[in-house]
Amino acid sequence: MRIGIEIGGTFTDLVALSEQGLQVVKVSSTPSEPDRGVFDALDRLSHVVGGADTLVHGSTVATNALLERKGGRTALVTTRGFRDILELQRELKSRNYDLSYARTTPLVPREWVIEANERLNAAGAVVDQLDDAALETDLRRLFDTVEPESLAVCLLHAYQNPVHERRVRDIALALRPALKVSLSSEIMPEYREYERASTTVMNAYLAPVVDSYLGRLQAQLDQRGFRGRFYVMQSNGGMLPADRSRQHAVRTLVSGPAAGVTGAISAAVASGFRNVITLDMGGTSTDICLVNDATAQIITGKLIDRLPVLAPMLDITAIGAGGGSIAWFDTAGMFHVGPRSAGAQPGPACYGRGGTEATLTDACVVMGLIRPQRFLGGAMPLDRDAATRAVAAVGHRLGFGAEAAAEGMFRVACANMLQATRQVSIERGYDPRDYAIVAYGGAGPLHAAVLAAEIGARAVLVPTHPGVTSAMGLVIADFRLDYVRSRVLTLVPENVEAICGLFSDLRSEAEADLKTMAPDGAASFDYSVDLRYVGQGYELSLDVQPFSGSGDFLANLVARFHELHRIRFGHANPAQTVRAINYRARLRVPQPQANVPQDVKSAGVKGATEWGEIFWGGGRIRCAYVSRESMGPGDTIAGAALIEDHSATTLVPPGWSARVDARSALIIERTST
Amino acid sequence: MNRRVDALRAGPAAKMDLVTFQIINGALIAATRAMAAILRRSARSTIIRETQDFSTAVFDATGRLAAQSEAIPLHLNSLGYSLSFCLKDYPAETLEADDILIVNDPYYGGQHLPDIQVFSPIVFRGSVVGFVGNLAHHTDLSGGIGSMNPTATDVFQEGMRIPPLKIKPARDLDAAPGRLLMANSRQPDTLRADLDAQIASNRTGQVRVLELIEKYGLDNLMASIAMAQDFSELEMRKAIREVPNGVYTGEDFLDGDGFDTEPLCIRVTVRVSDEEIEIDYTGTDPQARGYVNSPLASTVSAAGTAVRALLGHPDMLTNDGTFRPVRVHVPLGCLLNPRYPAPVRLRMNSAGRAYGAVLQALGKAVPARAAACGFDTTTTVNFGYFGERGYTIFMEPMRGGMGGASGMDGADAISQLLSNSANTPVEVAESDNAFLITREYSLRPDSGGAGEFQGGLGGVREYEITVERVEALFSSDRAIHRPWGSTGGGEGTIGRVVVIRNNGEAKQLPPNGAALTLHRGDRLRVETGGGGGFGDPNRRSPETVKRDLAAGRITKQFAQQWYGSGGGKAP
Repeated sequence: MRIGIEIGGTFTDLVALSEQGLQVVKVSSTPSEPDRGVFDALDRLSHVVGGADTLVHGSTVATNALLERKGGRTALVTTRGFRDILELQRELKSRNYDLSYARTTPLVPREWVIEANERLNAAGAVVDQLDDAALETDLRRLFDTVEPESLAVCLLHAYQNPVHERRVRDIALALRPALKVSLSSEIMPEYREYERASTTVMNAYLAPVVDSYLGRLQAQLDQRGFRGRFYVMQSNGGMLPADRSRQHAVRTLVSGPAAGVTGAISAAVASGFRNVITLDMGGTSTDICLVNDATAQIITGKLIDRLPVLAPMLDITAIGAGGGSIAWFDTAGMFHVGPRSAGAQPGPACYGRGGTEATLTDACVVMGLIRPQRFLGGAMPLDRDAATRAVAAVGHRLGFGAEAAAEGMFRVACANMLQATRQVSIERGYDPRDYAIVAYGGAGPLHAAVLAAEIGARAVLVPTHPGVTSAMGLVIADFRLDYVRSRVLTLVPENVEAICGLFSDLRSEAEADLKTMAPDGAASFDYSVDLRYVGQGYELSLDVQPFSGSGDFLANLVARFHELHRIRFGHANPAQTVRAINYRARLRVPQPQANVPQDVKSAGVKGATEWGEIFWGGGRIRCAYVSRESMGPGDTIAGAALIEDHSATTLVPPGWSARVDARSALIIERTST
Repeated sequence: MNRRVDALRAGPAAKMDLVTFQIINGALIAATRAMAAILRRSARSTIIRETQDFSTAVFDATGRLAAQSEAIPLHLNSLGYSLSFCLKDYPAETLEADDILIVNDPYYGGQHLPDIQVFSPIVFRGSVVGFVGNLAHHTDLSGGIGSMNPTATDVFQEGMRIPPLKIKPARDLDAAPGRLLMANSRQPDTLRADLDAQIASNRTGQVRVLELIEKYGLDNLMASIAMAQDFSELEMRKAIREVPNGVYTGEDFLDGDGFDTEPLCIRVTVRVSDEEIEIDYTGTDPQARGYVNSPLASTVSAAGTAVRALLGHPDMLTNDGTFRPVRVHVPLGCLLNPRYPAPVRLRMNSAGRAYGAVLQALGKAVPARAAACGFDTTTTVNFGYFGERGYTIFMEPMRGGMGGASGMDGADAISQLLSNSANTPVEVAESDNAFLITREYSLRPDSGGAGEFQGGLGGVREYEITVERVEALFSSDRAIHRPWGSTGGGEGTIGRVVVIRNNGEAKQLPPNGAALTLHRGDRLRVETGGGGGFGDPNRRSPETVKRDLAAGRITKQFAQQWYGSGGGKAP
């Protein structure tokens, strides 16, 4: 039995996959003690956890510690002359025209930064030797005054040569053996010192929190007789043994959305789609990810809470559009929906918890897309009058009636999603007409078909359990580890050997890990290289097979780079020299794909189709309401229709129709043009 | 209901509802962002890809700004101005979709010579219905290294002038026009790659806007653009109404003209009348002999940016409408509107004073929103190394502190308000330019002006030369005149540039810039100043003083001098 447990903002979801079938448990999250939710969920499971051979966990513990600034006491050692590396950042402002502009406060206070006398040059050669004695004195003074729990080390050009960083670690550990030390040359050996320092510091800052959380969890699992393997989901969509994750806390920061994409890909592949755009729309935000040939793109960094994090992560774009997004007017009177959200408290007006501002969920109620008595399968009746009052107030300012205002809100929210979807598809050279949208999260299935129509996507797929897609992602995730080396090498025949040598190093490192962690299954290795024209600052990544022994390795690579550059930027310069910067390897051990049973519910009574009206295209139209449980494989329904489920409602717009495929997923396609 | 709101309802835009407007306008802004992403990601020079010294925009059929990416204020509010010069020589109806209009000349609406602007028409069913355009700072267009020449006395000594030109890139860039252009750069390949990136950026913009026209119709797109401009105008008028009517004055100084240190005065009179503002620079010193003049486009942008920052909300839309209620008068022949052919390379600093003078004047009118002066000076160093593979040029601006504002300390060493550009990471600089290493990059304690809200600290960047010979140039200001404080806050600090020869001999260089040759082991140390303080220093919270002491941001002497405390038990 494999168990996936995902802690979200509102719910903790558990999915257990065994020969007997699939079991889903949903309990309330317990943010103050996140592990309590985990054990609440385990207690509801009909099996005992001792019978599980694998448990994969995804949590927001690291993310919350960062957002709430509740990480460990962290100090930083950097190169002489660079103590302000975290203060200066990039000297850039994230917004213009602001006389009161303030940077994000660094995670390490300025007085806890120590400068080491040492210097490497850009080639990694030692310019100034590390002054061990001076460093020891400075560290001793700092340790005596503040007693940090964690130490980050980021020395200039250490991505080329870790020798000084390792010595700093030795000196620090000699003074304080229990100190957790994060080295930039191990956490993310890539150039750009601020981004690397920020990542290393963040890892150090989160390490004590993640370490103690996972330690606690492991101890309690032991107590309950769990003897299987305990894994943690990473931001790259793969799982990693928990004890390894404790050293690489920064790699789990966006593991939740990554689990969702992993689950969505699996559902898509099962239904025969390999090129998809995933759309995970919840209460406050929407995550969008482009997937080619069942593989999500990996990016190597992004800003989290305005701090750069370099770590392999699925290329997921988040925008502030969700069911709780509020409609508002700015001082000039312009109309917006989101990114401000009513959250869970007070929530949309229709929740009846005191919210009075109109949210997207209220708009859906007013349009008739959500029926107040059927929300979450009837578990939470909504207040239609409150929704109408809130939306009518918006309509008053728009010069519209309540229903037209609701549709306006719906359209503006879809337009925001459209911009984000374009950004990940058309703007990167991918034509959305070749893709299907996989919709999940509470609000995704309600908006996906409209988005598909706008962007020209060929179909929409709604998985069987759209509300627990992330937890499903956990149980089917691969074992996955990413490795990187940085070295600037021109793509000329003389350098081929050096380039292949770097890949060999990566492979040896991966094989060593494979040996220690010994996951079940057959391992595969993928390689890629980040390339750019001489002088450019940003790289394009290409997959390579460095050990194929093919003689035109280099020529092929260069030609593919020019082509990719043309696709992405509209121009290329074949006469120009190309440089390789980063070399990446990925170790992947696919997990046995337990056969997800097709029909997990006891066959429900086929619900009678009801008819009603929704507001659509400026007027009321007739619409069918169907219960998802009543639909079996092969069943179809023509839009306008709403398919209601205990966790989400799916909209089939006029001109589209939905069918249930053999895997019990809903497929929505255009029927008229 | 006021006149403007009525006008808005009755105008052409009134045909469109707010929802449709929001959808089209959002798509238009997204188009400018897509243009920016293409430009930055495919450009080659560090000044574009790391420093991000560029802007992208969409214009309406008459060449007025319709939407822009969040980039550099000093560029954006004036791109339409150079486009108008281009259109005078090449009327819109004569343009074809694959034409570009290119210009850098400050006397044709440009900024300074390194900033090349490229515009492309949006051609729909045979007629030009709008434009997309961008501006990017190029590394070198002849003149001094990095097209900077601290002893220039006319624009010809600063580099190559490109008057408004119409070219077809596919045909011309590899032919005579392109060859002439590239031959006038020390880094021809970089110039070409960056121009290609600018053209690719415009192509993206053209495609995006045409898709919008196909989808929503030309009339709706035009109506949406007009409506966005009307909204911005309305919002700005509302903001100006909050300012008491009156006449307010401000002034500030440049250290000199690049040749001597006779101060140059920038003076402004701001007249607020109901919902309009007149900004009059009469009284500003005549144009200077050296490169510190600011062309009209930069001055007008600077004035508008000050009004926008002080009175507007940071998130409000910025377009042509924003500046309709603001009239700017700059006498021809003064420092801020020089006559041809005065040199203008260092316009950032004079434009910075033009901005600061307005900030000072309007601050008197609305003290609750006022802010102290920032260092507002870009100290840029250009290094040129001529080796086996031709020229390698490294260009790096260093920035000072922002002024304190009501409720907020000024940010440390950060891009000034008129600009928004990033540093070049030291590791990138050293990987691309093996002739130097950076020995220090840090903040300067005690450099912020004292106040209830202290000015941001200035910074230090010190380079060491690792080869036999490198030519260097730098440009700066505020080595003599300090940033002013506000509402009782203390003045900020000055900066300086010092050369430390390999024999240990140190020498401070002139305030406005100099050219020098550096040898192995020589160091060039750039120090920028901190911003002015805001409010009475006696009102600064003791906890904050203590925190700053502990962090080493201020010394005990500074705390005692300004805050009457040594900060208690802090180490």
